[in-house]
Amino acid sequence: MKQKAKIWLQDRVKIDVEKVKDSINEQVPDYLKGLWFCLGGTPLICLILQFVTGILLMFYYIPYQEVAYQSVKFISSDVRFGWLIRGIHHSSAQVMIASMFLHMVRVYFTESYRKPREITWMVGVVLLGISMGLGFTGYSLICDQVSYWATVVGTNIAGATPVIGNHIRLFMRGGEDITQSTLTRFFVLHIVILPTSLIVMLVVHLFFVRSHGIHYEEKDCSKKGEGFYPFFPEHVLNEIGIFLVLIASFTIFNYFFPPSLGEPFNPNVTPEHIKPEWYFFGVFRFLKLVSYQAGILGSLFIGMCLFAWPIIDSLLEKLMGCKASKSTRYIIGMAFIVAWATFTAWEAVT
Amino acid sequence: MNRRNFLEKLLIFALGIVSAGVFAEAIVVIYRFLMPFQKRKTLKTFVCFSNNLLRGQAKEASLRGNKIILLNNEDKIVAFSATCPHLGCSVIWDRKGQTFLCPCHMAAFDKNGQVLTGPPPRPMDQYRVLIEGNSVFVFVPENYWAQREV
Repeated sequence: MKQKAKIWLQDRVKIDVEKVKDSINEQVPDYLKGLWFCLGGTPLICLILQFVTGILLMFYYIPYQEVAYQSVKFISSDVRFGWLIRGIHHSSAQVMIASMFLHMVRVYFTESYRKPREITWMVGVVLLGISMGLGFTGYSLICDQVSYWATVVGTNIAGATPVIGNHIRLFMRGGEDITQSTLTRFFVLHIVILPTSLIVMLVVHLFFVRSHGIHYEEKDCSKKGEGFYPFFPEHVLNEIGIFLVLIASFTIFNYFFPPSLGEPFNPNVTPEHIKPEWYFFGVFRFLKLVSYQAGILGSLFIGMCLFAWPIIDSLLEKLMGCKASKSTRYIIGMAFIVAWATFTAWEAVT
Repeated sequence: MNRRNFLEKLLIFALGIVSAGVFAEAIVVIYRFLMPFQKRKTLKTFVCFSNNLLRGQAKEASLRGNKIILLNNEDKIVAFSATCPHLGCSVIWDRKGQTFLCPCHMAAFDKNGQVLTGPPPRPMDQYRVLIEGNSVFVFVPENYWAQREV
C-alpha cells in the first residue's frame, strides 16, 4: 500500500527524493553544535515567525492614518491573543536583528567571509540593511506619537544624503509632509517590497552558503578529534530546539511585558524624548555628535566599508602581509564593536 | 541499542512531542485570533424624540453599524433589525399595508415582526427600547469600528 502510494506520487511529481535528500544532507562541521555558530539559523526562524504573525496582523491592521492607531489598539487590547501575535511580531524582529549582528560578528572573527565567500558576506550585509528597513517601516505603521515623530526624523535623516537625499525623502513621504501618502508608502514597503527583496536576497545568501559549504575551521575540529555531522536530522533538530526556546521565550516575555502603545500621533506636539528602535541607537547618537552632513556621510561610509569588507580585507593582506593584517583585522573589528556598543548604550541611557 | 542511542532517541521523541504541542497550540491561537471579534455588551443609544414618530409611522436608522427600523405600533415604540432573517437583505416599512417587506424574496412581516409570507425562517429580530421623557433609546450591540463612525 505504502509502495503503491509512493509510486503513484512519483509518477505525478517528478522529483527525485534521493537527490533532494543528498542535496539537503550536507555535512556540517562539528563546531556548529555550539550555539554561537547556530546564529545564522536564528534570523531565519525569526523571519518565519515574522511572516506568520505579519500576515495575521494584516487581518486587522488598517493602513489609514485616521484609524491605524485605533486598529493597533484594537489588536492589542480587544482581539483574542492579539497581544501575543503583535508581541511575537515585535520581539522576533528585535531578536532577528540582534542575531544578525551576532552572526556577522561570528563570521567576521572566524574569517568566514574570506575567499570564496565574499558575495555571501555582501548579500548578508544587504539582508541586514533590508531588515533594518523593515524595522523602521514597521515601527512607523503604529501611528502613535513616537512612531510618527520617528518617521519625521528618519525621513529627514534620509533626506540629508548628498545629491539624492531630497529625492529619497520625497519618495518616502509621498510629498513634503508626513501624510496618508507616507503611511501607504511605508505599508507597501513593509508588506510587499522589503519582504520580497528579503526573500530574494535570502535565497541568494543560502545558495552561496550551500554552494561553498559551511566554513570549516580546522583548528577547532582537530581539537575535538571529530570532523563533521549530517545536516539532517542533527542540525535540523538543533534548529527546532532553538525555535521552541524562542517561541516559549517570546510568549512568556510578552505575557509579562506586552508591546507598548503610546498616545495617538499629534503633528502639532513633538514629545520630549523621541528615540528610534535600539538598533538605530548607535547611528542616532553618532548623528548627535557630529555635524549633520558629516554624520550622514560617516554612516554611509561605515555602511559601504561593512559591505565591501572582504575586498578591503584582501587589500590589507596584500599591503601588510598575512600576520600584520590579521591583527589589524582584529583591532578594526573590536574598535567597531566597542564604538557601536558605546554609542548604543550612551543613547539608551540618555 | 546502547545508552547513547537510547538517550538520542528519547531526546528526539521529547522534541517531537513538544513540537507537536506547540504546533497544536499555535493552531488554536491563530484560530481564535482570526475569528471575528464580537462583544456581547449592548449600549444604550439615542435614536430620536418620541413626538417625532407618529402612530403607524416608522423610522430607519443606523446605530453603531446596526441597521434598525423604529416603529410606532399603536403608541408603543418598538425597534426591529432592518436585516431580513432570511438572507440579510434590508426590509422596508410599507406604511399603507402596515407591513415590513423584503424586496429580495418578496417576504412580508406584520407590524409585530411575525412572518406573513415568504421564506424567512423566523420573525424579525428585535432590540430593547427605552423611553426616557421624550427621548427614545435603543440597546444595540457594541460594534468596535462602527462605533467610531457615529
